[in-house]
Amino acid sequence: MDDLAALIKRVRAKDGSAESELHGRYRRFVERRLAEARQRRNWFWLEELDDAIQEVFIHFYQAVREGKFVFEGEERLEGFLVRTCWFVAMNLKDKVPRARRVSLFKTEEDEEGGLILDLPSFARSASERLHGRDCAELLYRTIGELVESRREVILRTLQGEKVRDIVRATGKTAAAVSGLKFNAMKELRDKLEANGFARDCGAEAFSHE
Amino acid sequence: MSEHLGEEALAALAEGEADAASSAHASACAACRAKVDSYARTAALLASYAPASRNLCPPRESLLARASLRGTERHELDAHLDACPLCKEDLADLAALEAPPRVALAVRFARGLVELVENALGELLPQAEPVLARGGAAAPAIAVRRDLGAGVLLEVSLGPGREGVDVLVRMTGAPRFRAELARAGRLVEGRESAEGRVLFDGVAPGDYELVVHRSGAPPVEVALGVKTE
Repeated sequence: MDDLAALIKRVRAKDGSAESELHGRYRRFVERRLAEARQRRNWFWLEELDDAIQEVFIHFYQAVREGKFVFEGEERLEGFLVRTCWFVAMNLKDKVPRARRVSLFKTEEDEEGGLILDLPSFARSASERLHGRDCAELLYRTIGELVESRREVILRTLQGEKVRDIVRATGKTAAAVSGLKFNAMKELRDKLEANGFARDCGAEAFSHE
Repeated sequence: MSEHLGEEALAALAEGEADAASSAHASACAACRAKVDSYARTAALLASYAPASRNLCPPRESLLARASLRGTERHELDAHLDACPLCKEDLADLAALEAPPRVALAVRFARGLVELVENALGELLPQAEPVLARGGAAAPAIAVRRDLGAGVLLEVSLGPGREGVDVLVRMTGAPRFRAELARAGRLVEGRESAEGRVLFDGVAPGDYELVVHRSGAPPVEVALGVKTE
C-alpha cells in the first residue's frame, strides 16, 4: 500500500515513469470495467476502447496533479477510476446524437398515446445551471398552445428530427412538412415575443424581419 | 431580383439543404436572409432547450453526489430523476461500471498459436483436447476447467476453427445445462454437438458474455475475450 501511495505522489510530481507504472497496474482494471459496461448496457457508441482507456488515465493523472484525487487506499483509488470511466464514457455518449434520442411520443406506431417524456414535469425539474426553470416551463407551455399539426412538428424538432425524419414519421410530403415547420417556427417565435420569453429569458432567437 | 423564396425553400435554406438557386437568391436578398436567420435562431433556441441537449439536466457531479445531498437539493435532484429518462440512464450506466466484473477468460490467437491472456475462470488444463469443430480438429486449443462443487465441472475450450474461433462448453456431473454466448446483447447461435457439450463455431474476435445455466444453481457468467492479431 505504501508503494502505491508513493507512486501517486510521484504522479503528482509529474514523473512520467510513475504514470507508466500506474497505467501498467490499472490498465486491465479500467479495460475490464469499460468492456463489461459496454456489453451490459450495449454501448454501441463506445467503439474505440483503447482511446477511452487512454482518456481515463489522462483525466486521472490530471486529477492527481490538481489535488482532486488524494490517495486514501486502493479501494478509493479504484472507485475514483470507475467514476472517471463514467465521465469519459458519458462524454463520448454525448457526442453521438442517436445515443441520446428521447422520444416525446409513446411509440413509433402509437403516437396518440402520449409522451414518454412528460415535458411539463421535465421543465419543472429543470436544472437552473444554464437556462432558468421558468424559461423552460414557459417555452414548453407555449409549444403546447400551438395547433396540433404545428405542435407535432415542433415536438419532433425538439426531439432532434430533421424534415426528412418528420416526412418519414408523418407520411406528409417534404413540401408540406417544410411549410408546416416554417410556419410553426414563426408562430412559436411570435408567441414567445408576446408572452415575455424573449425579454425574460434573454433569447437571441428573435429578430424583426 | 427574382420573387422571394417560399416557405419550403426558406426552411431548406435554414437547415442547410437548399438548392443552388435558393442559396443564390438568399445571398442577394436581405428580406429572405432575415427570415432564414430568424428561423435558424429559433431552431437553435429549440435545440438548446431540447431534453437531449442535457442543458436542463443537473451536472453529472450532482448525480454522483446524490447520496450525500440533503434537503432541497436532494428533493430537486430526485424530482428531476423522476422526470428525466436520460439522467436515469446515466445512473444505470454508472451502476454497470460499478458492478463487480464477471470472471474473465481471454485468449489471443496469433500466427497459428493460441495464448492465454487472462484466466480468472479456473484451472488451465495442460493437455486440451481439440475443439471438434469443422476444420479445427488438429489445431492447438486452450481449455479451462472450473469446479462448481458437488461433483459438477465446467470446461470451456477455445481453438481456431475454419471461420473464426470455436468455443466448446462442456459440463460433467450435471444432468442438463444450457450455454448462451452473446456479444453486445446479441446471442451467438450454438449447437449441442454431443450430450453435455455445446459448440459455438466460427466466433469472431471480440468481447463476449458466456452464461451457463443449470437448474437449481445460479448461472455462471464469464466475460470471454477472443482476440486475434
